[in-house]
Amino acid sequence: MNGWMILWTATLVVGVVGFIGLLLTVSLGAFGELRLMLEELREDTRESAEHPEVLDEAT
Amino acid sequence: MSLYDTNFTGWDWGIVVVYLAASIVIGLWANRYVGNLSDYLLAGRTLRIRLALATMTGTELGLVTVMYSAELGFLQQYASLYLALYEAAFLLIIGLSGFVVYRLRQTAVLTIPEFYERRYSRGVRVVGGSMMVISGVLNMGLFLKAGAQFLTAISGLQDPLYLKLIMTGLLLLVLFYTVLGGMVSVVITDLVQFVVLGIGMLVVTWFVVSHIGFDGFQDVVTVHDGYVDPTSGVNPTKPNVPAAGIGGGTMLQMAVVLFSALMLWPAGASRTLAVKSSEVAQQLYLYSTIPFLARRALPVLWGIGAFAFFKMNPELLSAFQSEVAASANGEGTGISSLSATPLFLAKIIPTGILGLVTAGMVAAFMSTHDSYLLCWSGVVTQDIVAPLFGPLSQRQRIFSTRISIIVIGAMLLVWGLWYETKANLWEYMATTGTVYLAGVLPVVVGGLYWKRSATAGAYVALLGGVTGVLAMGPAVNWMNLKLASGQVSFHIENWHMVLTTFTISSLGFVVVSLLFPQQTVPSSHQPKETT
Repeated sequence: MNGWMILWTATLVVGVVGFIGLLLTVSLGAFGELRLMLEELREDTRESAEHPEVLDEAT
Repeated sequence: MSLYDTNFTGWDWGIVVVYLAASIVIGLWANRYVGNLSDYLLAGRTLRIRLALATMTGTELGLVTVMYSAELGFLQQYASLYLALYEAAFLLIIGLSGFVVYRLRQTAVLTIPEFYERRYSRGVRVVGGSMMVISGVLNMGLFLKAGAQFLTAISGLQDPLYLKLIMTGLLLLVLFYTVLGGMVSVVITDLVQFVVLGIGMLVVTWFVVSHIGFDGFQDVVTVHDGYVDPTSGVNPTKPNVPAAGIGGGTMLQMAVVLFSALMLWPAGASRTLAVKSSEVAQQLYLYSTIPFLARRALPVLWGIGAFAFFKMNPELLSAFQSEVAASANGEGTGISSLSATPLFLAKIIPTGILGLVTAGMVAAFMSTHDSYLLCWSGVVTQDIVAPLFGPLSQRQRIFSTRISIIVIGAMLLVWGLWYETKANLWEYMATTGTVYLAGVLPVVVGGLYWKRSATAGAYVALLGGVTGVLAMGPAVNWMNLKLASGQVSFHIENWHMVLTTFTISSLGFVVVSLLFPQQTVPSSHQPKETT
């Protein structure tokens, strides 16, 4: 196996193994972060509902 | 076994339809979380690192990425993996240094052209926004066709009419939930799509490796004389076709294009601007190294598998080559080298699992389209319509963005239906991307790091990017014909024109900035981070 093939094999192995790790890490934490995001956005929608005139102010 | 044999059945269609229906429900549901313009365009800048990673990966790991990477794997085998290494290395550099992305997030702008106005002038913002939209729509022009070719090839549908119907249907679906929920819809669907797509990619990789085997992948080099060394301009599978090779010039071109795109491609930059802080923006780039490596490497592996598969089945290879040749003459079923990998996957992945994989690929298709549509439409509203016809209220801006999404969607449909490219898909995308990237690179980098950057230089750099259209296939062919008729032996390649465009824009920016210095530096260009 020449140098190029060693490099490409390593690239493929790191790509596959790294992607498995990333998929697990992100999937386990991202849904909790999504919940936090929606809570923060709910605050925005509440503010907009209480002060709809802000949405009509031209800037 | 015939070319269009597939394991795709009614069960698989059912799985795909259920998945698509779920996306519509998410779009409707997300609409309730849009309170103001920032929510609609940037999900209220509430993204934390994992969610940002999921949505960044979902956006940048589109079906079009899968298709062009697999196509490169099929055409250039292992040598095409240099692009995966480039992306990983560049992201590592950006992630460790924070180059551009840290300071850009500090400015707290909603879009890159908004930065132009703060640093240069309103006119630069309008010109820069227009260039961004033109380049972006051109760049997206073949997304629909690539997606439809995947679906038709994997499901065995041969009628070109299906291609058009599928393109239209998928686009309408994406338009529906993006128009309704904006970035909130996009983030939620991206997360689901990230999981579905991620599992799908690993499943496909498993079946490809199982079917071809390690010996089969070795045979690509030892028996079938596959392409391994990208620095060589000669592709051993097509030694008489110069355009089939890579070589040092193309590698240099791709290094410049990719480095610029990773920092400043608007859809990626919108994630930089949507995260909670500059630190998260920098982390996002560092951690994106792995998914960006995978988004190239895995589909290339499938493409190499398709190459090995067709070499092992010469009768199929012959049928495939005949179909591609007939399609190029407008007589076949419309397939091209893009279809090689999905045709291969349709034969090796069993029924049921094929439906899940297809749902994953449809997820990839939608997660890219929704982000891109929202991104360009946001630029149309914020950086073209509002500066020219404003002031506008937040409600009017959201309405304008929704209209822009629909208009751009219609343009994509028309462009995708009639434009035929002779280049491979990645080359087309790199070329159209140059129109925007060549200008934005000096204007943003200079604006952030060089005090003498000036408005006149910014105009020259942005407009200099237009020369990038000369790198498109028809323009290069025309110039070569002119050279040949003038008895000039020099042959222009695509990469000559791409690098020339970057040089014109960057040099023009520096020289004109020095010749026509800024009289007053806008006070608002100083970094002022907000969350």
